Amino acid sequence: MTTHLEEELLQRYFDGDLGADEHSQVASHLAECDACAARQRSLQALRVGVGVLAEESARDIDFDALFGRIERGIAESAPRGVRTRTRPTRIWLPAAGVLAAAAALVMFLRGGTPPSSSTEIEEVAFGEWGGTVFEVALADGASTKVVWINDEYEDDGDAEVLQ
Amino acid sequence: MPGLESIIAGLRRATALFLTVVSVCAVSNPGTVAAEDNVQGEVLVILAKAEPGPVDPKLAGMPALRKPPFDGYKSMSLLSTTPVTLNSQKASISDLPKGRKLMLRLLGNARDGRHRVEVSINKPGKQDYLPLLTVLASKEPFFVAGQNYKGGTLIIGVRLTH
Repeated sequence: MTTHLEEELLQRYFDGDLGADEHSQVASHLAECDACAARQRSLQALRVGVGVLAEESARDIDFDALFGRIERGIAESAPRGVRTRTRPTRIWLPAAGVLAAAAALVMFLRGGTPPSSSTEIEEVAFGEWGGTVFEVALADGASTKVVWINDEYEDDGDAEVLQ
Repeated sequence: MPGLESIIAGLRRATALFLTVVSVCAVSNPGTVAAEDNVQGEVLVILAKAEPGPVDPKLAGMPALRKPPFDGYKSMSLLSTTPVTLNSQKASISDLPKGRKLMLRLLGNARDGRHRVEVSINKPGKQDYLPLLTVLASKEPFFVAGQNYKGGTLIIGVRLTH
């Protein structure tokens, strides 16, 4: 007879919310059950993936360099004879325009239209199954998707859920 | 009026930048065109196990299988490879283990070369398919996994080749 961990129990184990006895019981089960161990690995992979994604998003944008380029662009756009002016109010409009355009560009890039070499999930409906979508980074900036469906109980006639 | 030239120059520059942004957005938007042509592909059914063992050499060209969430599996066998032809007129149905069926339907071809595909799986003995996914698929295979089978986990790979 195959016994699998309940989803909530596995999640609480993953979050470190279990007492010592329950923790030990779940750990023992994970050592024996490939399916539940795979689900736990999925949770770990998801947590790592989210962390890396957030870190990379912040790292990929060099705000200092961006605003440096904007400032240089403003300086270069000024016509001759005006460059030495010191009144900042003279450039507020072009600066605002450049900043707005740059902000739109940054937002667009951060939102990230994926390269055409990547596979994207546009819609997902797990229904009663439940599941998780993983992004897998590949070479040259491409990526693909793994859709993990939680349906391991359904076809095992001898399976039951560990309460 | 002092400063007018610089304002005009700045506006011109901002307009150029704005148009650049709009152009990039327009070019990058994959959009969808009518699915006129058939799209060839294949459905791979893979059994992955935690026990050490061989990995089918036919899977060597799929680096995603060596990365999370699959990297915990130490052996993989290719149970079947089924060629499929996708078009918008007729769904392609492939048999899966345990009596399930995978249905793929081409919704459209994106301008950037990717294909918009609806993916669904039915339950054994039932006629209704769960509308599972809409995928914007490149040439990189995508995967649906998680079902227990023969002591391991089934991984269904879908690779569009044309």
